[in-house]
Amino acid sequence: MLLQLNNIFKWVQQGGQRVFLLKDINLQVEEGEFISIMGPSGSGKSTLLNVIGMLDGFDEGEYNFFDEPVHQLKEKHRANLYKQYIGFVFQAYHLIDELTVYENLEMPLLYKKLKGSERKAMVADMLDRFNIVGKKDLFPSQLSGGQQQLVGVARALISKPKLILADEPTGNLNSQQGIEIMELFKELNEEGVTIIQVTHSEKNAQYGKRIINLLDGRKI
Amino acid sequence: MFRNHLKIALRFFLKNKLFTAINVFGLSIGITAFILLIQYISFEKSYDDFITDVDDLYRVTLTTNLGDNGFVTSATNHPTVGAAMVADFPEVDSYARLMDKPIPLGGTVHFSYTNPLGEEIKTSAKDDYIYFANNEIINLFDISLIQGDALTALTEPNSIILTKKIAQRFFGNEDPIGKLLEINDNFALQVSGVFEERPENTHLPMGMIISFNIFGQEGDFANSWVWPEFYNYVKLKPGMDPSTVNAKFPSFVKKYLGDIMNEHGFEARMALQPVKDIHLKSNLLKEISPNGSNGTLYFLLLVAGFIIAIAMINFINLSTAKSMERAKEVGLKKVVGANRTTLINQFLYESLIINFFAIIVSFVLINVLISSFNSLIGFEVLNFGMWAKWQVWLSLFGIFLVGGILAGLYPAFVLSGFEPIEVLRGKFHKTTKGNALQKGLVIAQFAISIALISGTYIVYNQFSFMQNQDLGFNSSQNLVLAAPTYKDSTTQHKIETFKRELIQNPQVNNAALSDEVPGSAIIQGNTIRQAHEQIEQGVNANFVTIDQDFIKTYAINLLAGRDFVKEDATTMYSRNGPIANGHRVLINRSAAKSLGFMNPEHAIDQKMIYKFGPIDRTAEIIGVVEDHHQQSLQKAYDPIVFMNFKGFGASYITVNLAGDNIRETSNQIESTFKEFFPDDIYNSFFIDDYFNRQYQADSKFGTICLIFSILAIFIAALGLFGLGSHMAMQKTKEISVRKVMGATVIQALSIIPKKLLSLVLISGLIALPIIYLITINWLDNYAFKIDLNIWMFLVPLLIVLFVAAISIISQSLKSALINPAEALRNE
Ligand SMILES: Nc1ncnc2c1ncn2[C@@H]1O[C@H](COP(=O)(O)OP(=O)(O)OP(=O)(O)O)[C@@H](O)[C@H]1O
Ligand SMILES: [Mg+2]
Repeated sequence: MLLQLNNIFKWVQQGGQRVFLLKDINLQVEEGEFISIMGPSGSGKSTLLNVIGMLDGFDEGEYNFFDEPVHQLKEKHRANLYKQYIGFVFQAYHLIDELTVYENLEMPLLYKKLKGSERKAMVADMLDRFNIVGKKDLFPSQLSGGQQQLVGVARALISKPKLILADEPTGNLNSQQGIEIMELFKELNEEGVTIIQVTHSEKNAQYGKRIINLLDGRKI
Repeated sequence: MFRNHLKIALRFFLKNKLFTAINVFGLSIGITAFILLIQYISFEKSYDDFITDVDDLYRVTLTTNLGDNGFVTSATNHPTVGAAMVADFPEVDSYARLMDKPIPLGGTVHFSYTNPLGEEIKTSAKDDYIYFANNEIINLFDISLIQGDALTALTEPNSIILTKKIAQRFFGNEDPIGKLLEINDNFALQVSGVFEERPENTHLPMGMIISFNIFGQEGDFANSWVWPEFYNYVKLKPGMDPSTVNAKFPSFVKKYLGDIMNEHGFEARMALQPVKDIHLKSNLLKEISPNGSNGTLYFLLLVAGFIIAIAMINFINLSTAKSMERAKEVGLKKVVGANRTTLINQFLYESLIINFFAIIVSFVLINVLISSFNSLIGFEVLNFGMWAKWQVWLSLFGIFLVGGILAGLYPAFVLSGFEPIEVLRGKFHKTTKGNALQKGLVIAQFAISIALISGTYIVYNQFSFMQNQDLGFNSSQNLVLAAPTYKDSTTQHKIETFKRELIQNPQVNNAALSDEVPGSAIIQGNTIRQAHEQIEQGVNANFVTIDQDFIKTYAINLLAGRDFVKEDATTMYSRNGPIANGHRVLINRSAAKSLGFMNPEHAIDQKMIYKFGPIDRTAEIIGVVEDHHQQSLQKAYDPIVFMNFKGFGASYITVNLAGDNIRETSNQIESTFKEFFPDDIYNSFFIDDYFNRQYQADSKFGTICLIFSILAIFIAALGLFGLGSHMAMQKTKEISVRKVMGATVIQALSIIPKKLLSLVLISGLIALPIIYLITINWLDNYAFKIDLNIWMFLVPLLIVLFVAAISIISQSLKSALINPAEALRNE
């Protein structure tokens, strides 16, 4: 089992009242799964994904990742877990404007203390695999949205994560570009990478093997 | 439209409280400092302005090449110059001559008045600004007499005029006119006038003026051409050009001083010096009161300009930075049809409003700070009366308008220049517009801060170096008493007995008599030479008369030969008469060197000649002592000849205290003094205090520099803090993304200092060479100075880097510490 959420609650304090963002979420994810999270806007999809990705905390419940109790781990240990296993893909790509495609891809590796030659090889691999070798010296602003998201996915994959979390990865793309990304996810999943994606699109959701529906922070 | 602008502006300020606060606060500190400094500068510039005919008033200076220091210009001149000029030059209307040393009175001066009840009111005249002057002084210097006749008040030989305050001190509510004031219980002066307190901004403060005719009318030294110790002022007739008078001086000097110059082989020149220039542009020998310095004022003006510039740079930078956040507002306004001019106007209004707030705050600040600023400067430079002057309001309004428009213009143009399409596409943040200027301004701020820190640091180092240097004499636990007034020949005897009595006290190590103590310029001096040399080979030296205990009491090192013993004292001379055989002297190392002795030993038992007035005297050198600092370390060592005369009129008695109970011992000394000299006033000081008072002006300048430099740096830091928070906001996304990619907090933050470092380095490259040249130049004013080292320049650089890094990182830290989910949620 890859991860397990037990009775997760998350809330914010607003005007003296608790506003629940997540209510009693239970979820088990096995290795190799491809899950789509759906629900209306504001239902808590991104929040849930961030909790799974350890980018955000929660207020109650248990979260085990590879049998490690995330809720009890120190920040540093958690960061290591995260660095080792998780890759994130954003809707808004979040590439760094001042860095070239090559440098954007290399960035996560810099934080893993890999040797220069190793980094070079891994980046070259990724550029190859996503057919963007010719773009490696361009800045993000010189790419189309689809190309930027390709780089975003490549950046998430470069450190060979076991789990990819994607928050509406195709939200800013046209349908053709969206299909390409989805096909890519499917391919990765077949290679054994676990994928959890948030999506509004019924069509994209079908790429997943399991669909989780959220409403008002509750799983239905 | 204006109401709309105002509404938007106020909402924007409310929403951006930090931004608004930093701007208002920074600007108001800048404006306050600027106004205060400008007021101080104009105070210094206003010296002697209150004198009605100051533009026609000149001091006659004397330049001579007596001695080996080349030509030296003195503020004093022969007492006869003024009268001769009135006689010879039709351009000269009238003259005043005055003398400020109570020489005809001898020793310490005190005044006493016995009132009708028989009570004696006695004060020492230490701080009362006493002069001897002829009656014309009243006219030339606009002395306004409350009582007495301006035409005759100072014509009688024994008349004296004094200020209202001093008159009150002696006579209370009695009518002062005609009252008798006794000097040194010796002879009486009659009060013939009372005048208004003089303004503080004058080079010639006045308390009591005694008729010059006390020197006698005819034939005496006061009418001779051999004693250039008098201040001479002349008033030219209206419209006369001083250069025509200056052109006539060479023949004038030849006429009156020709014979003396030939006889003694020196040359003299004279010149008119505008009275208006004396305070700031003069710095002659024997100035009547300490001068200000134009250089200092320019420096302060520079600092004032820097401070206000830094505050404005802050405003420009912050507004421009903020503009990124307001791009949407601008874009939308343009879409609905606003044109560029309205937008520019809007942002200019905002700038003016901020400046208006700042002016109000600084108005309050100035009023709060008036008294502390005055005590910092030491004069009443400011008072609430300043608000009655339209110039002050005009300058405030000027700062408001110029500052508001200057600071607002650039951000207004950047902001109004955004293209709506770019903005709405969200691509505007990639414009590099304004970046170069913003960088340039930040560099300017850094450069100013680095220069100010480095300059202040060096100035401070020099001052503390001077105050902590070994002075070459024992400067602690030496209590100096002003010697009692000389009444007759028994006084000297009494002083000797008093001295012996003091040494009986087990708490007293030693006591010595002298006519000078370290801490001020030596009055007497002339040329000296080896016995076989001619008069032209004479070199300048100072003369100090001491007794056989002086060298011991001051623990001055003996280098060769021996110290004085009691038997060395030769009889005092009559002014021009011969001197006893066996006249022996000590000289210091500098004097030995000037005389041309290879080393101190060579000087021992040699004969030297020193000039005393017009005559040559021969003396035998029995010892050479180490140089000591007679004056502040700004001055080089003085060559000194120490003489030892029987019964010389000592001005000081120095007592070296042994014990630790200094207070009790000095109390004992005081009561002994009063037993011996019941008619005299006890006046004492510790030699280290006396010596250090030479640094008062320096430390005042240092403190002013320090305070305003700190202010400047503080404002700069404030701006950096604001800019930092903006930069941090801009970088939030990047920092968060890097964190998501696995960077630690430190790693994510490290992107900021790298950029900062290059900015600070460029600023250093600009600022440090300049400040190096300035400080090298400034240090040249000091005979004893610190060596500059690399740290004096590197440390300020590091400080600025550190302050900048702290202010930016403290802001970025927020974005580095929050959950990336939070930071990226809105994207
Ligand atoms: N830190 C927070 N403070 C207050 N409210 C929050 C916070 N984070 C999220 N919310 C609220 O929680 C709800 C769920 O947010 P979330 O971003 O998870 O929704 P979502 O399902 O991803 O919606 P969308 O489909 O629009 O992206 C929203 O109503 C949001 O406003
Ligand atoms: Mg969402």
